Amino acid sequence: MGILSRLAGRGHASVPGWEMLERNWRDVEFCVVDLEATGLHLQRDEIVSYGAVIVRGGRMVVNTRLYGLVRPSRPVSEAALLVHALTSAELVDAPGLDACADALAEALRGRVLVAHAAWIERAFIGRAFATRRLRLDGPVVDTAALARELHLAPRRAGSTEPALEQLALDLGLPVHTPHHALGDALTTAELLLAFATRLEAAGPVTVRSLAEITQRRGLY
Amino acid sequence: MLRAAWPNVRVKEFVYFLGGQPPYDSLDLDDLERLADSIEAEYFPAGAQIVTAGQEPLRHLWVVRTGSVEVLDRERVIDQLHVGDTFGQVSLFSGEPPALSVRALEDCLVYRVPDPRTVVSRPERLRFTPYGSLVQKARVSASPTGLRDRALVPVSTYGRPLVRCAAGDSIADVADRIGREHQSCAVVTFPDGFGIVTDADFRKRVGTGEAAPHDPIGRLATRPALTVPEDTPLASAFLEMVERGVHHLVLTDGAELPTGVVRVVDLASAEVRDPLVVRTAIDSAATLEELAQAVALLPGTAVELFDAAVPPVRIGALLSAVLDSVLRRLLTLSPMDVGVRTSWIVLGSLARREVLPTSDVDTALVWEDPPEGTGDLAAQVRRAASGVLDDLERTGLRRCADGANADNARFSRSVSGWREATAGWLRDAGQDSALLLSTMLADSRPISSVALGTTVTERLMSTTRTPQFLRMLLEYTLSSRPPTGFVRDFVVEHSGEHRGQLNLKRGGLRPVTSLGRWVAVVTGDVRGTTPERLRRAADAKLLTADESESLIGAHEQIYGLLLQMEVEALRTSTPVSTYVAPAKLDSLTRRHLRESFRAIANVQSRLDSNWQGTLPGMSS
Repeated sequence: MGILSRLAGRGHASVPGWEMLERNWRDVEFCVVDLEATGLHLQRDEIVSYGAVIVRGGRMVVNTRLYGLVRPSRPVSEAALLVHALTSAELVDAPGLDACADALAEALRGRVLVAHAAWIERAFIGRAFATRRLRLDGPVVDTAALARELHLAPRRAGSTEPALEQLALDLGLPVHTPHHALGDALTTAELLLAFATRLEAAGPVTVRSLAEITQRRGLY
Repeated sequence: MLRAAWPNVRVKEFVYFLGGQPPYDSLDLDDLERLADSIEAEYFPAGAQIVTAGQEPLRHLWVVRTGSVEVLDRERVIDQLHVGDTFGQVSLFSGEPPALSVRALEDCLVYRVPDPRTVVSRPERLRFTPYGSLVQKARVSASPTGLRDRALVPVSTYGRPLVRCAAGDSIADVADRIGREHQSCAVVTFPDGFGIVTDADFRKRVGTGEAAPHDPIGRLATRPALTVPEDTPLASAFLEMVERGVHHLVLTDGAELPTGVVRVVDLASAEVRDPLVVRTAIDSAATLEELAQAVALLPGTAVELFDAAVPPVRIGALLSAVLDSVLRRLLTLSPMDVGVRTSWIVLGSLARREVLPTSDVDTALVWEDPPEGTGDLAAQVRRAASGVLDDLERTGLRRCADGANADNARFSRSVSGWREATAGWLRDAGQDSALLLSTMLADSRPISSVALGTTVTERLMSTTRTPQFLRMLLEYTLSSRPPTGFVRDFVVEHSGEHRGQLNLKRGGLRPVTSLGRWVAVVTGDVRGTTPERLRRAADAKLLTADESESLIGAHEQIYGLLLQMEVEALRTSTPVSTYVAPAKLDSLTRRHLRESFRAIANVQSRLDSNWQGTLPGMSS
């Protein structure tokens, strides 16, 4: 995280923080997040659902899973609807963005954020946090970047990010409900386990080494 | 702690996966969700050690989700586990350190689950049941109403109040009281004891005019009434009823006074009615044809008992009791007329009351020595015995295919003939078949002229046995070895690996029953089933308590599997085989079987290296 973003968030509480940077990945907790949104415009679109699961001690702990819907202030775009199938009508009774920001802040506190193509989650969570005077600030691990590092990312027409589902299938890992925020968070968590374990073949893997791969190989 | 904002979010993928695998596939959706909720997923690279033999007892089990793992016994691969296979449960349930190591064969995702019995609301639906004693013990504690427990409750739990009457009361009066009190029998007090009258007596004897309503009830009573102490386990009481062919047992207190009565219908369920139907049909058979019709009921009975989840050892005991009654009935229908008393002795699994539904009937015979000057009766007796065995086969049962039959000179001798033979075996254990024959006699039980029959085994047991004899006996006993393991299609034996099938009877059951026979010979007590003998072995310090328990567990599992195979063959009218293809067994059965083999092999090797230490008062 650069000085500029720190300055920009002056006065906001940092979540999750940088304390765990030098620790082995098996000794820290990760919060693996996936979001579905009204569309993919990072400044305009809004979160409609969020899913998360904790990885602790190198294990994905199923009963830590978290899932919620969010009532957006703008309609769900047709393109997004085709992906996650959440209609505006279904979301009308859901809590607002504050509840989502609070839940994710609690889940992320003291943990490392993990997401697939994490730049999207980072942008949406950052905006959500700002409404609660919070600042997303800490190491980020992107499983798409780890896949590239391990030469596992297949080329796909029209996209530069390796598809989550295809990566899981290629590795023989189970695919949880695709394009559902919790399903994708669970699949992403399994990818994290597989990738970090494979990276260990070359030596100990720390949060820093995962974050550096993310910076080097991620699309930021 | 995080909580799901939408609590009804289901972890479908986990639920579907677990729901498709034994032992979880009988759980309902709620329990599958509970179990899914308890999962922690971990990824192991190829070669990583997941479980290390001898480590702390496991506090969770593992389910392979992707990839595969291999199981190692002292660095030797003995099994491979694939997607859906569960491991670690033996250590988890027993609280013992794991005996085997598990290593990732390829990169794999494995689910770690805490003791599922503590997670689900219906632990009895976890299908760990038929796989090994350790698991069974655990299941019993998780399921206090299980059949197995019911079998052990005191029979008095099912007792009914007594209708008491004096021998001089009128039949009509007693019948009236039985009816008013909604009972089906009464205990009749005589000056010197008591008897019993049942509704069947009224039907058979008053209904036919044999006795009149104003006659004293004493005329109808059966004396003495069959009794059992009121704390007798239900299973034993029931077995007693089947063996004796009665429908009522009088319960007695410490002073042997009647306190209640138990009826077979009180113990009723599919498990108790059928054997008595067969037994009654056998007892009332007046011809060979009728006996054959009764015997024809046996296979179906075995299937029903099995389906009613009656424990296999009890099914074996019930079938044995019925076979005994067939033989006795045969001897009544066509008595052997040879001028001297004879005693029929059953051998092998029937003697131990551990038959399988399609077991052969193995027999021996002893006859009184005829008075001096009479010619040798052997040929005549054996001819008559052969006739009885022919009749046996007409009822649908089979004599022993390997020649252990009452008409074979080796198994058919006079009292003095047996005496000479047994003395010879003990003198020279190396002589032809001496060890085979003497161990066969350790599995023997006279079913007619019992006092005469027991002279044969008593002779063998009372004669001083030399350390040389006992050493050779042990070597002979230990020569029957279980396989060391199997990997998919391959059975791993001492002679190496080979593709093929596992003879469960030869490789699994026989090593344990042989140890039971060895115990019988060494202790001089030939009574009982293999588990009972193994328990006695622990009392006599021939085996440690752990060894005894693990052998009993192995016996229970292997016998149960063989029974299951026979029942399936009977159900589908296919030939019975004692061979199994390891790959066809589900992985839990396979692994518990391997545990059983290991337990047997461990006891064998301990006895092999330390046999004299185990023989009290024995030194060479």
